[in-house]
Amino acid sequence: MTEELKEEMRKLKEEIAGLKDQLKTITQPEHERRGGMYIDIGSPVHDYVQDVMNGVAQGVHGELERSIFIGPRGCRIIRRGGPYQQEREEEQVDFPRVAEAMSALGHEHRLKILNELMSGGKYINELQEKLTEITTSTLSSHLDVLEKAGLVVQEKVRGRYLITMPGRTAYKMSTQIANFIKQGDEQ
Amino acid sequence: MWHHYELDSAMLKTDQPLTLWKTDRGIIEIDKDTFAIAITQDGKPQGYIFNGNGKLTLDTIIETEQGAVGKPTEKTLTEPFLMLGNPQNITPHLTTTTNENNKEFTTKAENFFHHFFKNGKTFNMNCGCHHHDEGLIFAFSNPNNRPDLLVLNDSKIVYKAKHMTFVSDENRDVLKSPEHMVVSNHGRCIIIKAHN
Repeated sequence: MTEELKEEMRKLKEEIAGLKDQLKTITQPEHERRGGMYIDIGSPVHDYVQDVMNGVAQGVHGELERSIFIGPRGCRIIRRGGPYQQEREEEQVDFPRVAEAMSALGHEHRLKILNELMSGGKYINELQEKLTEITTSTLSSHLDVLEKAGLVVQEKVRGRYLITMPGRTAYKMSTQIANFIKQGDEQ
Repeated sequence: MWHHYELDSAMLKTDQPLTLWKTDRGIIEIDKDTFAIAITQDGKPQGYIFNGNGKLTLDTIIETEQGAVGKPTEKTLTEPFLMLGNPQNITPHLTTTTNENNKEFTTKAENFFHHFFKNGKTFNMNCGCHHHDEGLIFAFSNPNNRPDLLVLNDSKIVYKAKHMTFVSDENRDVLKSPEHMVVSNHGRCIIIKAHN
């Protein structure tokens, strides 16, 4: 597991380096890569973009290094704050937000929508084809509720609906609750 | 190579709504009658500074195996912004205008031009860039802050705003925001949440 994590870290660092290299192709002189016409954009812009990328790369590396410690005896994730802080964080529950999310989950149609989105982003007509029992206007209003609760996000350009990380977690949690209830009924 | 960019003196305006850039990730549109001043190099337009009503929409969202991260970015463009590249598609839709009310825009455009290129109207550059048929640069002015920058080349997108950096190349993305940092490659990702 430790070796796998190390390998993942190494790959991620390579990917970040790759992204930086790709960005260079945007700002590098075209004539260095192939023939054609060129415009020069000025070193301030080039420096600015380079600064941005360096900032991102350093940020990612810094966070990785602060959060994950790889030593001679293996790898461990550093959790900031002791048990006390974790306990305190648990106490700071945003109840209105939780209630909104729970309320959004509290409808059979909305759970079905989340279920469809678990397999990937979908356009509203694709959802409509899958969920024939829901009318188009009702589907739109359900999606609005889910979006407001932060369980779904809509792409503004393509228009697809995507399930968010909290949405995925909430859906899994709701199915687990259903399983617990089912098990309780069987007992 | 040494080149000079200059801000043209002629005031122009768009004769119809224009889409300056559009992909499945984002779109920049400006309304009819948006003012424009050409940025020239050796007398030829290489880009424009626009001022009017416009809108930037960019889906700064990353799809990961654990769910989508980020929100769409929507920015109303009422302050001057700069576009470098692709002038051949814009120039035919610009007409000259002599409206006296344009002086405010002229001053704003000059200030923004100076601010963006730092060294003034004519300055030396020794750095190359993709040909403008393929690459575009947008800079959006921000009061009391560095301009938001959008660099585009085919499917590659780099967007840097005050509180967000978004880099995308097809299925490989990086999103850095105050809430989290996400690095994703074909859905596989690492997500680091901010510690407040």
